[in-house]
Amino acid sequence: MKQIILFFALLCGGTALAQVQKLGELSSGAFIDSAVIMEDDNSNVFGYCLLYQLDRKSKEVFELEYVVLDKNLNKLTSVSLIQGAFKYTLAKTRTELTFVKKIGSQLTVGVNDRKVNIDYYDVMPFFNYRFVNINLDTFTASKEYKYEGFTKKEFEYKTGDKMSFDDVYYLQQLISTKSDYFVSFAITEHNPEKLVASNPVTYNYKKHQEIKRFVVLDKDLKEVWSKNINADKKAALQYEYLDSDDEVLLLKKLFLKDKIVLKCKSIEVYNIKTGELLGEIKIDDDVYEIDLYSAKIAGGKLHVFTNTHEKSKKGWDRGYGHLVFDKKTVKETNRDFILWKDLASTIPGLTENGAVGKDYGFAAQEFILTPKGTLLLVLEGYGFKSGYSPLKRVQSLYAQLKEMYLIEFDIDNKIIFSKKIEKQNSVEVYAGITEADMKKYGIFDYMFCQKINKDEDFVMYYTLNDQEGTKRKVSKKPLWTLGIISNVSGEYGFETLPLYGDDLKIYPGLAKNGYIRLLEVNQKTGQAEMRLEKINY
Amino acid sequence: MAKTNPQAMIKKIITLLCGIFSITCIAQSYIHIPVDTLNIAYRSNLKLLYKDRAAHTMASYNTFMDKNFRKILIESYTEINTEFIEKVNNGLFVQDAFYDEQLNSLFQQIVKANPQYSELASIRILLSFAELPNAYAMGDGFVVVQLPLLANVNNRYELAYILCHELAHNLLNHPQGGLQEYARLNSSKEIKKKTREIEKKKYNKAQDASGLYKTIVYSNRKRHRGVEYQADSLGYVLYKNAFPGNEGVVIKSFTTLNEMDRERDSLEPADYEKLFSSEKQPFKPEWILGDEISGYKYDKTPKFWQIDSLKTHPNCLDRAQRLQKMFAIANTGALPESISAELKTRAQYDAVMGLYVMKEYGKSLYKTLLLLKANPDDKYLAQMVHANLVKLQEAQKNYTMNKYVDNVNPGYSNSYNMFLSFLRQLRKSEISNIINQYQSKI
Repeated sequence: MKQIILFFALLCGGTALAQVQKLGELSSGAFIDSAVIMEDDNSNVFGYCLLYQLDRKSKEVFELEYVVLDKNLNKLTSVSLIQGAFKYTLAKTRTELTFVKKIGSQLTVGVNDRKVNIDYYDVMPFFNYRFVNINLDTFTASKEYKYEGFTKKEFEYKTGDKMSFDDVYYLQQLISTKSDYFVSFAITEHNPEKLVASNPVTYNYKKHQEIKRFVVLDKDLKEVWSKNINADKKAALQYEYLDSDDEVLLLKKLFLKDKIVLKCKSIEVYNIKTGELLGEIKIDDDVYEIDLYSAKIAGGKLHVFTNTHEKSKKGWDRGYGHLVFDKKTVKETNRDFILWKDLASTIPGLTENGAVGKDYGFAAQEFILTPKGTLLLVLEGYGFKSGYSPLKRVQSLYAQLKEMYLIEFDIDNKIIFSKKIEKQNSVEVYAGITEADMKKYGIFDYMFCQKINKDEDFVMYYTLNDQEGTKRKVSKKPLWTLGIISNVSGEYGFETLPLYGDDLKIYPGLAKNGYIRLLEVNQKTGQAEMRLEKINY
Repeated sequence: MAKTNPQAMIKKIITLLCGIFSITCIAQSYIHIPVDTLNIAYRSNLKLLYKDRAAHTMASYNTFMDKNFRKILIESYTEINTEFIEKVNNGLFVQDAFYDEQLNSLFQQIVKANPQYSELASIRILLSFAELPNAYAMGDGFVVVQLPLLANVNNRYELAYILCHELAHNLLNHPQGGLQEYARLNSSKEIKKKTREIEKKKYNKAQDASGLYKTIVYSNRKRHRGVEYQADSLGYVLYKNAFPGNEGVVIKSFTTLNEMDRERDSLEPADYEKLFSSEKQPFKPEWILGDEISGYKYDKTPKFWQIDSLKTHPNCLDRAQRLQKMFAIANTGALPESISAELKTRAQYDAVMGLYVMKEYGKSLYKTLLLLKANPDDKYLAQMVHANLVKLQEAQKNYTMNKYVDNVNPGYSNSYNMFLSFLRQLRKSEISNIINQYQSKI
């Protein structure tokens, strides 16, 4: 009887609070994953896509359900499809959403399999990229399809079908842009079986040299334009999608040398509609050694933020750079440097190398272009300390995250506002972790920044640990709290929101502009409620 | 968020409202005396009576020989009892001489005219705060009338027939029958066997489980529709005996019931301008510009259930036709006198207080504003606007507003969606200014 009762609970849910959308009410299946759907122009959240497993038909064939919600968590539609997924005896795998892209009334849903508990040395942890289109006018789903050899191939599964790795080596990924297109790179020309599954630790020069083409596709995966790359057999270039809008496509261009990845010193800027190369941004400077940190497209300009080092053998860290280019001509219009030595008056004890003391430094988390034309730099302090791990019961390495700084610069690069945010967090990390990896694996407390309204006011989020007491208690029983920093009409607002309660854990997430999405999970009953809360400004 | 003591909260409101009334007496013709939400003696007596009756029912379960069936029955009944006591403790059941007179005069007439149903005399009619206009039979000799129902019936005969229908459910022992049916299903050896078989399966589990589940739910809902027909018929007999010559109203009451959920009033942009303009803060048109529904297309095709098979109640108009045919009811007769304006108004005013007590601050505020637009100088309503906004301001500060206010939804009226959007357009300082605006009206 237990199953029936449980099933009933899933379908009917509780009645405690009618306003909140209960996840269990949206599908009779088991929840697998969710993804945010952005508006076509990426300006706001359009809605959400939730993936459920309705049934298992055979070992590797499943009935999956895609539930689409609007930005207010109302159900728009749901479609179900029989699809294949890898399941093997030796390693645990799961299916997840790669992306969900809206173009007009079509949703392109990317799905992939992944190994559970991926470690740093995993070969091909994500695989079997496949796609489903959902029509938001007719509420119908396409057949599952994959992209292989620059061609769309449809698949239909039936009970008993078996998956084969021979099929996944040739699959191409689709990269979702911020306009009506996808980008896809070719797989290696020779030995894809060997090169696709290359070890990420020993970086593969040959793998990238063997990728000879990329293509820009429309929503039906028809080629809009393409470009051949890596024609020179003596060199190897690695291209990566960087950013886009409805006019331009920015691609990172990395020069490879043997097994070393050289830092990114170049960005190619294309007309996204025609493929015309509008220009190439060479990231270099007469005084400093600079390389790409991040890039943004805003207000007819391309903003390139760089890491900045001394031009010497030692290459001491000097801070960051901000290079501005005209979007149409790709000509440089401005160049500023934010050097550690200039921040010393704001951050007590900061040396010109960006350190405080022996083992403590700062990492830029975000460069925010504010509506009044200023630049806000979000810096997070970090250092490392070894200590006893209560979970592993051995000595481990911890990243110490003690504070955040907001530093705002005017158009003349002068500091006009600064604020220190105290926090105390300690995260176990592996030895030798880099700043880039800490960002990649979400070690830092800074989360993300989002527009609040049409006036471009913004809000940013970070987490902090409210637990007090011994180091062991702080580390073992964290009381996570959400830090909310809003900027409305130039005025900053600072708030905190506990992400815990009696038997409750709250997970924050991206919501429509001006709101935060809170997934509240009751630890005792397992019931999950999702709600939208307006930013308090 | 810190937990609020509901009794203390209600006491505070009543105290505030009492302060208002001395002023309102002079200024207005209608003075609303809110229903007493602090009648501790009433609550204690009701709990005693309920516990006594529940103990009697619980003792009767000993006659069931099937242990499993009895266990499930006791568990379900205990859950219902706990829920009821919780509602009493939270102040959802109220006693008021005015409403008692209205309801009991009808009830006594029904009892008197139906001596063959002696059990009727022991039935207690309870009045409850609620969101929706409704009434229900609880079993154990209790029938609950939800306050908004009193504001939505057209005349006292419609109310009388609704009472008769619910009394009939009790006479026919439907509430206990429903519980026993639930216990029977959950203790059924056949269902247990089928469930075990499904559990053992490796594949197609969900397909088989949902098939079985649908069969159970559809059959349960079909049984439920059957008992509604029975209550319609016996309710008609009770009614006819008590109110001869007014049988045609029964047919009309189904039309009233059918349209009861339809929103009859709305807040228009001009209303917002009147309600939310002050010298300090003039109305801002952008507050009501948010439209978050029309850009979407919503799929209304049922994906899992057959909607008709899910209905717990048959269609109202079908019920009317069936009854008319069965008892040859003439759809004629003079239109009975409308329900008193005082009853309607009091019920509407108390319903917004009820929503406040239920912590449905968004709905309470919306219903208050609908009343306020017709009575802009009413101090009780101004107080309710103020009280709700203070709660919502606190909730917004704690990032819990969505627990007390709905999100816009394509199923809601345009007016309600506009209100929901309006509330969320307001900035911190703007809510404070509106709170001050209403504070000054109290």
